[in-house]
Amino acid sequence: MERAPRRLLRATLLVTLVLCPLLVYAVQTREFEFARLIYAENPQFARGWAFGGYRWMTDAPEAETHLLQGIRRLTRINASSESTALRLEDDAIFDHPFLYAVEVGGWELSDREAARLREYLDRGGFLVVDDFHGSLEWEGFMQSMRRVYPDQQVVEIPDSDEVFHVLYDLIERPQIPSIYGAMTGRTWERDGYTPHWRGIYDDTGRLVVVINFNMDLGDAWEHADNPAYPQPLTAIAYRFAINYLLYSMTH
Amino acid sequence: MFELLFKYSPWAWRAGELSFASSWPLWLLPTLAIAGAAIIAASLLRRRHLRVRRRAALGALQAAMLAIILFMLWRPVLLVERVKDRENVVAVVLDASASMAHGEGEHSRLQESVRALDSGALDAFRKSFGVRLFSFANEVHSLQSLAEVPPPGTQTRIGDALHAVMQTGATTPLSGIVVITDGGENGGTLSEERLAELASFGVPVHTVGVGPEKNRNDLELDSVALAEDATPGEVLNAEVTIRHDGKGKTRLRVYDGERLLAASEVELSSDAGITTHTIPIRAGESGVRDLHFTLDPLEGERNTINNTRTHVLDVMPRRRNILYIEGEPRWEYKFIRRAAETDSSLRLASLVRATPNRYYRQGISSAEELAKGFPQTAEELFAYDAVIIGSFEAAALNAEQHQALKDFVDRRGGGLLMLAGRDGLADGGWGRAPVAQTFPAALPDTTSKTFAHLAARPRLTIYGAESPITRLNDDPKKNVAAWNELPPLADLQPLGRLKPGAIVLVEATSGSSRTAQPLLVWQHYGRGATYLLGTASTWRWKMRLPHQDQRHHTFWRQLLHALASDAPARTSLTTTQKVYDDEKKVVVNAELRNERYEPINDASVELTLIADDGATSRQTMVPSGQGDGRYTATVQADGPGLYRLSMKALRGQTEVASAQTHIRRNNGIVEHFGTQQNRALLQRIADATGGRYWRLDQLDELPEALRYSKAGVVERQTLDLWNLPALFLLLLALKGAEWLLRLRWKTL
Repeated sequence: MERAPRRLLRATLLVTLVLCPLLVYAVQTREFEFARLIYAENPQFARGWAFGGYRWMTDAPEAETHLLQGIRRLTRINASSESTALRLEDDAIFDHPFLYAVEVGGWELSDREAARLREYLDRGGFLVVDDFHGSLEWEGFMQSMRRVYPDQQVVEIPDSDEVFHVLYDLIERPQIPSIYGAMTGRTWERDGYTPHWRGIYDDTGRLVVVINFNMDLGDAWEHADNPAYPQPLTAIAYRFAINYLLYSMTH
Repeated sequence: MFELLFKYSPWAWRAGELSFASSWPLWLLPTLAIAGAAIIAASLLRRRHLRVRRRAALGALQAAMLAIILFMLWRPVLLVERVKDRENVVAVVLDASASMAHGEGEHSRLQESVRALDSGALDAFRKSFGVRLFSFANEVHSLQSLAEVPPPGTQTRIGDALHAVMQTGATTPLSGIVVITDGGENGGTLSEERLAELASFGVPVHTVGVGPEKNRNDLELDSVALAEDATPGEVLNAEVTIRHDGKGKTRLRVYDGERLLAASEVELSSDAGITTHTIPIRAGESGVRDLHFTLDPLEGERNTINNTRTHVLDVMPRRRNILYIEGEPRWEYKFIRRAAETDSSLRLASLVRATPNRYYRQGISSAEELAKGFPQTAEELFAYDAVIIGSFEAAALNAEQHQALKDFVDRRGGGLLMLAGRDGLADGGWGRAPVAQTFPAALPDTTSKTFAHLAARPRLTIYGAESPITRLNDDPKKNVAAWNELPPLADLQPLGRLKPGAIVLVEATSGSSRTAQPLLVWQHYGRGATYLLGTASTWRWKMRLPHQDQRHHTFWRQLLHALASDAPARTSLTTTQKVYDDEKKVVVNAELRNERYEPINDASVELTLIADDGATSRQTMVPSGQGDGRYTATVQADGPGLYRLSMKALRGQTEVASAQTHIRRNNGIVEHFGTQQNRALLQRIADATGGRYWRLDQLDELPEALRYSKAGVVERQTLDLWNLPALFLLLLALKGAEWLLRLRWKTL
């Protein structure tokens, strides 16, 4: 009984997120607008997700709504309270130098999309991926990412990297679980026992892709108002997001 | 023929004044005229059988004869002043500089000149004048004969030569100076002031032009415009001007000593005979670059020395320091930083207010730099060459910081760039800040917000089309197109009413409005300059264009260089030129200032000049006495080569400043440039002194013309005109015409 309205809500959200950018793009009125990447799914790796929606919209819109409030409260970034969702085919991605993609273990980028994402990053865009777990989803993520960056390696981001220090010093980095993990105490999913902050650097040494592997920052943002989700983990998830955003706006 | 008909030479007629010498009373003239007319009328009345038109023709012929007879009766004369024969002197001054050794045929210009003098002109002068012969190049020499002309000199100093010759007129009656030259003045001796001084002697200078007015089959590297100093890694644009006689192609090469630095093909346009070409030069490591710009010669080109120019570039061991403060994280900040990071000669130290209480620093050189936010003191601020202020409210600075910011532009001579933003320009309260005096526009004085998010298109103004800041392509047309094709901006902020000294480089149009508003404006203020940029969305030129497109980064690098490059160092050592071609005297200036950029006037300043071969000379620099921290000295750089000039300033035993620079000395260069005849200059000399310009093939006419000079010992002569053969011939012709007509009409 509860699923029907939820599906309706998600379908409405989907239509809104897809159409809004087309209708209101012209000129943004705020410096930063949270942009979520819309992608096609790879059935080989997208198994086990059955909530009546699409992977790219996981945690939307609560995750960004909460996060944007935090960004506006804690930083000087002139952030819009609205968010958007964009396909790689949409030229509007070039007006959003910060892009968030979720559940990327099940994404599937066409060759053209992979080239567009590479072009976006080469022009100065910044991509944060989140909420995928275990070796199978890692392989799903990398199948597309290898086509984006056939010439660059994915590496563990060292503690000394500026992305962990631009505002908050993020030396202690616990695994950020989903809401279910937080409630059950089982912070990992599948075989993703250890959280990894990985990244891809461009030729000049700038971090251009941040890969939050074996963790779920989106849930931590989404459930910031949920007493069941541990507040310290929400706080640290906010800090990661703010550091990523500040890094992308300064490097 | 002229003298056969008119008795006297054309020069007498040109110089003389017509008058009548008859002693008869004036009333007699109309009386005789009326009487004559009455006789003619009576005679015509008797010829009633003739038609009116025929009688009118006869009347006209008879009236003309009457007029000529009356003219002759009143004794017309020519009043002339002419020099007394054998009592005056003419100075013949021959250009013996190296450019006169050039020749268009078998003989050099000098040989052609000597031959023209020898083939009659000199003898003709000697009939009426005493003749003094001179030759000149760097110096003037008196000659006994044309066989004594010295070897080619390394400079042409026409003004000095004329001055020296005119001074001989104090003891001899000088009727005129005949200067035979190609007009290739290159000693800087013919300023307007000098010409006026020469004219004041009252001696006419007749200039005789030698050589073609346009060189054929010759390339000349006219000039190289390039900065005198640079920072390591900086890429500079050298603007090279080439003179040529037609369309073609050549190759420009730039060497540092023996090492090839750059090369490029140059298309020579056929339009004006002048082509300007820009070539990028990499400054490289710190040190001195002894640059040679060389054009490949044309096939069969005779003068190739003028295909090369030299330049000295001092690469200082420092970077341009720019401070950038942002009140909020913005994409514009990120992409400006990225542009600056592609240029190793720039150091962009930046502060961005990440949270209400915390600044994030980048590009700093020490842990202490900017640790307390915007510099607290003038000394700290003045360490930068340029400052950029983004979306940052004026109220965040205290009174001392505001004053320091104004002094930064005015006294320190730094460059300031104010960016648009929700807390930038007028919305940040900058219109009421002390530094607003330096702005090129009076920011709008309004309480409502002026920063607006709207699409706008940038376009170059006529000043922008010529500015190196906005040069995205060397071709002017392609440059305009490069700007017109940029993606639209996403925000705009009005800059307000422009001040008189403002220069608008870029303007923007928004929506359907055709009215453009200034987007990038600048002006000089005090020793520095201030720029206003009415947008914060140039980053779209990076994100909305393929990643290979460098227009955003190029624009910002050029703007950052313009901001920082003109900011003077605390200590400077400069010369009036970097290259001294055939010039030994070097004027050296030093300027000393302390950390607050206040002049140091009480230092003891020693200058050392070191030649290539290690020969060293020392000299004390003299303060200007104006309290401006300036010191000067003049040194001699005798031989060719690269010279190092170093300066050390002491207060007591303490060194307060030091600097060094380099110059190059070349010999045998200037006479090979501008070798075509400079007729305009020769005409100007003649006009200013009352003389005349002559071609070499007109030299034979000059002696006669000089006889009617008003300078020297002159006598006044009255030359009778009543007996001009031309008048008698005219009378005969008129009477003959009358008889012929009457014969034809059968009325004789």
